[in-house]
Amino acid sequence: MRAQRVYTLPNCTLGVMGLVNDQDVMHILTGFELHFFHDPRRIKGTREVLELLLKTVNVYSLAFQRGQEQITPISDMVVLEAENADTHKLTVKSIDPDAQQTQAEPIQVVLNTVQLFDLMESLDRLCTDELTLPDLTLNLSAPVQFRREQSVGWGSALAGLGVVLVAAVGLSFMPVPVPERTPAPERPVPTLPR
Amino acid sequence: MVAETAQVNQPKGTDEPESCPRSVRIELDYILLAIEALDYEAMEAIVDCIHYLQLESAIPSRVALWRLRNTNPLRVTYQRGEFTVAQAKALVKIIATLAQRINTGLRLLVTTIQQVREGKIEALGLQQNQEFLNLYLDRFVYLHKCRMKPSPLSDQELKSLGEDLIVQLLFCSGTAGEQRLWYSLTAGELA
Repeated sequence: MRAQRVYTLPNCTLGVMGLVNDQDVMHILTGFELHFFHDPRRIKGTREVLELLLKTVNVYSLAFQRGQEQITPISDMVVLEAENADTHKLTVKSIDPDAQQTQAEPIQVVLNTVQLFDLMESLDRLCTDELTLPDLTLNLSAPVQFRREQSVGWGSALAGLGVVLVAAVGLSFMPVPVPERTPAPERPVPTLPR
Repeated sequence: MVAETAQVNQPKGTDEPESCPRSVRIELDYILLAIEALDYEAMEAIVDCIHYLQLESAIPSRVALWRLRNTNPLRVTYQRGEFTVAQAKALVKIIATLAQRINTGLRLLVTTIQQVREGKIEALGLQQNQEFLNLYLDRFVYLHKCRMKPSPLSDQELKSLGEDLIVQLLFCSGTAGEQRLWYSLTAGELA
């Protein structure tokens, strides 16, 4: 039997369509639809895209929480990147599940931090819903590569000092060209008479 | 979640590391400081949460909570003390529960932070939201100066830290806030 489960948050709606069994558990996903209220376009896709979206949002939001920037996009189908301190750009190559065809133009939505939180929360609710895709669980243990760490205390300052010291040691081993000596003037430069 | 609670309530296991890393102790104390800056009475809510979540085995009393917070080496009243992984998880659970309760306020603050940076407050006529944000930031700076050792950070940098902590609190106010906060603190290095 076909069914639809919808997770609504103040800034977005995530709907998953699929087949449910007699116990009302949805095991088979036929498609999903993600709609941000500030953008008229709808992101659609198959299970593959949903899983990539889930993984990308998890990795990105964890990096964001740690004040770091994620450097390895998981897939070119779903890309989430920081635009500035407060906005994040989500790009999805949307697939219409009925036509099974990738749309020519990827959908690009700019999200603020609260909208990113709502996207993450809608996916978390889907993951914790035991009646919808029970095999889809919140997995935060994926290895993640980060860069640009910001620390709360003086750790960053000490790290910076370490880099400077290493650079100084490195520089001391680099050959420095000796400047040519200029001959000293033979006579002292005349000064104004008192 | 149930498994996590059981783990928190259990006595310290032999396979669990003895003490939490310094960074976790600092970060947890800072987040609690941000909650206190949002509401000076938050300490009562934190203590109530210990009983509500049945975490007495990890944090038996208000004094035990105070001692735990004083293991933050940046505090004026820093004291060496035990801070186990189970106690850190109990604090994470308390923070996630409190953050969930104030989710609406956190949304408002994070949105206001962005509107202030973009200079849209005047145009949108949302000066009262900015006052709310400023009140929080001033309280955060005040509490930081009272409780922490003299810091090389300027008032503006402390305010920026206060803003970062509000965003951190928003991200742990969701359905899986507890797991997310724990993972973000430890980067998956602690179970």
